[in-house]
Amino acid sequence: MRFSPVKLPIAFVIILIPLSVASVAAAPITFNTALPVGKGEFVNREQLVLTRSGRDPSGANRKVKGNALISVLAYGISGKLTLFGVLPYIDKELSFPARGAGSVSRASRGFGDTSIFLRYTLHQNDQRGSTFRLAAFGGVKMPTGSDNETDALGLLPPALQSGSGSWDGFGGLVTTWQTLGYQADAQISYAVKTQANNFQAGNEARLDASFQYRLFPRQLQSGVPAYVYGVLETNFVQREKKMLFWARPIRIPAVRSFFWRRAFSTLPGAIFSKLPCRFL
Amino acid sequence: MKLITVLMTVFWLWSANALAGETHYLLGVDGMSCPFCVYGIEKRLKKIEGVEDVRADLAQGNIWVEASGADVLSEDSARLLLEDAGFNLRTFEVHQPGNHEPGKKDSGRHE
Repeated sequence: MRFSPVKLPIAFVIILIPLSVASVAAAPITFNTALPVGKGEFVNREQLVLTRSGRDPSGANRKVKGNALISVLAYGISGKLTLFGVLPYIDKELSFPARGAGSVSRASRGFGDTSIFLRYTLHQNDQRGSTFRLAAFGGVKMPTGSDNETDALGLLPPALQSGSGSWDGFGGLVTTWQTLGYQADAQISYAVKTQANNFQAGNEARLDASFQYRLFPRQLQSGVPAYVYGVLETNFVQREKKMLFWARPIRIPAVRSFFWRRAFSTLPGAIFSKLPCRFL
Repeated sequence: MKLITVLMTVFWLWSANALAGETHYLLGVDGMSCPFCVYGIEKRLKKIEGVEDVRADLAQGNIWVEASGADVLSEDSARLLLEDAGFNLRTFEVHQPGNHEPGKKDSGRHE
């Protein structure tokens, strides 16, 4: 029994818990900042993303639930060059009503694909209490997550697997304007997807923008207390349609399209920032 | 008698401070726009031998460094330290005991 990748409108509830030692007090939800990581310094950010599906437009009444803990570790090679590693732990579940069987549930859990990338600051304009930065980044997503998980119904669909199985490349530009009270970020990026398991996710172009505002404390105090930021983020994603391949060695594309799918979303969220862990 | 004791204590504290050769540095830092930036810079400054205390004024973009002895920090070393942290040195001032004219330098902008 095979299922096509789930295409449901998704409602997000997101909690961010960054633990930083550098200048990252707030950050966007789904992308990076251009803020510096000091030479020889580490920044660790833990992000908990809770995803719940909205109404299923197909009428099949499918429900998708996802929880992800995304760990980001950054290392400052120099004041301008930073190395990032991203490892998610993903818990996904798809449930849907089945004739005579009540509800059927399919789920996977485990570490996802690891991303490693470099970011270089191309331009910085520093003022008293504010900074503007522009940085370029590029890297690879490695197939460290499981992409062949099965359940009683057979192989899970690609969208339910913890990993993609493919080596993908990505790059782009990110800019940040940070002041004492708020921060704005924008990013343009492109990801090239490769084939794995007779499946190739479409290449992806993204435009992202995020605004973060310090809600608590209202007045800056001495020392480094905890902070709460409100964040509003919007994402525009243009994705090439997925391609399915016949079994090797023929590899004839069964479904191939040069059309693109576009998605536009706005995400609210909250960010809690506090002192770094001692081991950092 | 009480007054004499207080005056002697004040004199002793002043002279001990002067003998220790305490130096104060005022670093004007551009791009320091969140408390965590300060934390990163503080960590680097406190690793320098002789640095005893570091305080920051985020709104003005200033960092005060209290050091025991002279020549703990030079303008070049301060600039390099801040650039490694991802920031820019705007001004560099040295305040030494008995010297009421601080040595102020505008470090300009360094990209």
